[in-house]
Amino acid sequence: MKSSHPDPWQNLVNLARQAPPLSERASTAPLGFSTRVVARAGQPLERSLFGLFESQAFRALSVASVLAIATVALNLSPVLQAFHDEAEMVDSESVTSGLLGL
Amino acid sequence: MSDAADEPFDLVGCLSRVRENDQAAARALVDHLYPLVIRIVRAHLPRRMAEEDIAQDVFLKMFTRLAQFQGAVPFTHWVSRIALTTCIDHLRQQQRRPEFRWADLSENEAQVLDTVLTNEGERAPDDALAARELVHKLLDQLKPEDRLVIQLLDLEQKTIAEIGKITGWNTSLIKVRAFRARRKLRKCFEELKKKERS
Repeated sequence: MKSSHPDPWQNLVNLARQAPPLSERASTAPLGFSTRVVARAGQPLERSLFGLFESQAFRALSVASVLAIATVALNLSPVLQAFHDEAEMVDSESVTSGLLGL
Repeated sequence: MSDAADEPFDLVGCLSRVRENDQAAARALVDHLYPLVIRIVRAHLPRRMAEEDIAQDVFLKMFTRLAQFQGAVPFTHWVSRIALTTCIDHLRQQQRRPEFRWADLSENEAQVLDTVLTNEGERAPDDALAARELVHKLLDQLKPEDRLVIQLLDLEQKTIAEIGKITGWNTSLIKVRAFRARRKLRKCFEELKKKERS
């Protein structure tokens, strides 16, 4: 028998398809397989260390965000006032003010 | 033989019992679906991988996601998709793809490869077995998704529509993956030809 297709891949695949099926391996579940699988499926999922860290990290992030927002909200007016005072002080002490005698 | 073995499997009834946490029904479901799952696992994974462990993974995913099954596709198609995606995940984990080299081929495989590369020479009846080994070694060079598409198209001779049903991928994605896989295979063959000449 001779090769007929110009594409080597198609040639190879056509030839491979003629191979007899692989040794007749059992296609039924091995003894105890289903019992093992069902028992594992019934167990509460084991949480990996990373999974635990992940869920705790999200909680920590949420708490940190709430605290940050609360801190900003509580301290916003003193901070703004401080900025305002500083700006006024800079204005009065600027070189231009000095030169103009203001 | 018992009559129970001849009775058709009541999948719908079994599924509803599994949803009510009936362990016997769950075991029966695993036993019923095992041939389907193991066929997919054997067809789509390199032979060195432990097929039983992967089959177990498939069934565990099936039980975990059972609540998500809405019945839009037949249950066996849904399980087939889980099996295929599990195979792809395992192939991805493999990461390193062994290089395809003439030196690693058996005498028979090298002869078959030479025949298909030159498109000349006679074929012996047992060349088909060597060709199958070669096909699997070449498939190992591809990305898992591309490998799956080309295997379904060229080896299992499925249509694009059938592949779409099995994988859930759309037609253009399947075509792109097939194109990419064929281009990679062509490149492999070209390199092999060069190495053969040198």
